[in-house]
Amino acid sequence: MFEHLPNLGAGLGYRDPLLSELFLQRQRVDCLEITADHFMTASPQKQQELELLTAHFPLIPHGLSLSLGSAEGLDRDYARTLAALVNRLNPPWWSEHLAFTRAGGIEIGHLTPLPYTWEAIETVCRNIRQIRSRIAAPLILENITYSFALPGAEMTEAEFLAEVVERADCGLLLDVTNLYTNGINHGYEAGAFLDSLPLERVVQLHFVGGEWHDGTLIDSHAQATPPEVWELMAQVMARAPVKAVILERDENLTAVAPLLDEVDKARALGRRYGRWD
Amino acid sequence: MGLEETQRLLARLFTETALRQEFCADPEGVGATLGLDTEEACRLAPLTAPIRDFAASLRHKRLLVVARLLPQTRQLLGPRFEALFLRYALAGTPQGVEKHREDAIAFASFLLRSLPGESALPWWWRDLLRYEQSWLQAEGRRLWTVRSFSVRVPALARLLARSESLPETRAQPTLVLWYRRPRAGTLRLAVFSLPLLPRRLRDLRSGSAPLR
Amino acid sequence: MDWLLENSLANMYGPTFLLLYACVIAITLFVCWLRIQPDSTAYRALPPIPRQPDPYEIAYLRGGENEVLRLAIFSLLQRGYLQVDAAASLGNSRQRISPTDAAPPASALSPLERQVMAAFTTPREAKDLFQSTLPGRIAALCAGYAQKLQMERLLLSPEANARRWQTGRLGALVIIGLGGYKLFAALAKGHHNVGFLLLMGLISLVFLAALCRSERMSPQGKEYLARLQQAFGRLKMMPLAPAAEGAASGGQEALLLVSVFGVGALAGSVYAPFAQMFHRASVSGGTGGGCGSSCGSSCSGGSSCGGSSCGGGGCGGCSS
Repeated sequence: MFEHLPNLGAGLGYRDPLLSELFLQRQRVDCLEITADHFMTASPQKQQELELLTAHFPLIPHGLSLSLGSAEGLDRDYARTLAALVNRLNPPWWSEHLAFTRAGGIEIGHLTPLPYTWEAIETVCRNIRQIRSRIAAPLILENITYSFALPGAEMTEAEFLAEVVERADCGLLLDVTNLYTNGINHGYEAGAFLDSLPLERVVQLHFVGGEWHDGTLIDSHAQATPPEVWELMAQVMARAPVKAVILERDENLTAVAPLLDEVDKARALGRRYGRWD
Repeated sequence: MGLEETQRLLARLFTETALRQEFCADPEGVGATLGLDTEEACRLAPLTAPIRDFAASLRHKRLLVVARLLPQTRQLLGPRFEALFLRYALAGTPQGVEKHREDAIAFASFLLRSLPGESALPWWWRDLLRYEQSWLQAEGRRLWTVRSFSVRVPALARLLARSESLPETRAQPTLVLWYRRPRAGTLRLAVFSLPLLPRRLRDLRSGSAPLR
Repeated sequence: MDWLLENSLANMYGPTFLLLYACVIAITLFVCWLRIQPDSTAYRALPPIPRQPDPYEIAYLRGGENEVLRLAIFSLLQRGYLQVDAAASLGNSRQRISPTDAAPPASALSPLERQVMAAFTTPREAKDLFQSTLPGRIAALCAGYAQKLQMERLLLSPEANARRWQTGRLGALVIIGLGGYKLFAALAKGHHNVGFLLLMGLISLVFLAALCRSERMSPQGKEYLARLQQAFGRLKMMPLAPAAEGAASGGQEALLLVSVFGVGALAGSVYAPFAQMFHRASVSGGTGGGCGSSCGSSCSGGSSCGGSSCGGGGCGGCSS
């Protein structure tokens, strides 16, 4: 169903401290995921930076604040600006989160989990229909980490995710690190989670390393990817028609070589399972 | 309580310190004033600790972003940067598309107010902080921003960025102009400095021997 | 000969003539500006930033053979072939560059670098180099760069610059011709209130000279350099490590930094004395600029020329 999408390979989440290194090591980066929110303001400098990136790398816009899970609906201004950016870039796909970030006029500042209920599924699907009327490129949805589950769940997280992407006919951005983190923190098997997902809808993967804090695994996006996440990625690559894999490092960006080593490793993993050349 | 009401309540609990503290102390009582029935309040009561933790993680996330936007100030203040930021962050959560930049600008103003006679820092710390703040302000403005400093602060910031130790610095009145040409992209700056002050005047200005 | 001093132009009331003169100047400047615009069919999309950027090519684009010479000396310094005279202090204007006692073998040097190295049989001051025949020899070795950059429309061709020069002369002919004639007529009739006329003529000639002056880079070349500076701006904040002795090339980041931004970008680094030396050389008469930020010129980017925009992103970082 997403076979027509191009195979992009392995890349990085773009962070501007990496800009010069990316140009020095372009042969090691197949694509970049850009945070849409960073390029939605009118700063001429950021627009030039975006043009520079567009001219040299395939880009995938990744939204943060659309708040597809908001029961009060989408913020029209934000949706309009996001749509203008994504349509201008004309990417092979774009992504957002299965979460909410805004309610009652308050921006929370972080991805907040949804209750696993039919009402939440309806809400997300309604919002997706709305944004689809503005953006032609295919949308893929990402699973988030959560430190607490909201009460009143009517299904498991995996069932919730599967139901949303099937009803909304979306692709899946499977964050393997988030899956591993949630499995550790909430006591479930990542393998069983994968079995409940429509893996044929997996378009892209995220991966990165977190860290332990007081017995809880935190998705800090700051450390090297642990062996367990690599193992999980291999399982997904073997079963799902993955088109791209992105290292989503936010912190500890001064030493770039280890990051590119991880991207190389992810690329090799995709080659091993025939995902790209 | 439907999804919309639940989300509104959560948004307030995550971002309003006073409300969160009251709710965590008395979920049923405060819940009733917020429109929750007893059953709903009981269902949310076990979440008081996660809600507190989530709010703390929001502040920590803001800290990471602001530290990236004020890198040399963070370098200078060390561990105190975090403690001061967490104190500042209790006052409220920034909103809007430019929230991170505005958060950093507001935090810089907070530092300038909160550390008036700071003797543990080098004498030019305020200039460095104002310089970083001014960069952020200039990015939000269209054409130009001008500030005066008592030290050649752009060079100082570069030295600090490249080295872990504090550079030796002499007083040198400096004017910095941030500008961008209409329709051009890159924000540029021009630096105009007066000649260096004699050593005697510099010692009087700083009140101590130079660092390093 | 009466017609020379008795015609509508010579007899025109002063302020009326100044108005006419201003219109003629404006039209002349506009026509000259139109004439020097590049042919629209000659416009090409900017070339992409190469995967393996050549620092010498970039230096040549930015400042010709003088910038290439500076970069080559810096590269040789980095790799242990040359050294800055250790006995001289920073404030000493007679700081010199000399070959090291145990220089690595010259086999690792490119022809251009060998040419530069050959100029240092004895210690030399930076400004002497620019006044010697070395820049000319470097220019000959850079002919390939010149040709390639002209083909890519990043450098103005000699023909384009000749056209600018010719346009400027024609424009000056009109401005001086009309203003000079009126000046002659006014003085011949005993009118000495010609101050405004002279001022207008002079100011317009200054504008014309600025408009039609020879340029190295085409507008596309300037845009391409701006792109390079944006792409590699972060190099300004990276600590600069010396290259390994005898390495086939200098530390890539340092060479790229100097090629894109000039030696001024070395201020505050371990190579600051080198930057100072070439700054003094350019000020004291060596041709070519390369002053950079040590002179207080522009620096783009965030504080400490670093990132001021939100560098984070992603689900764990800077976001909503």
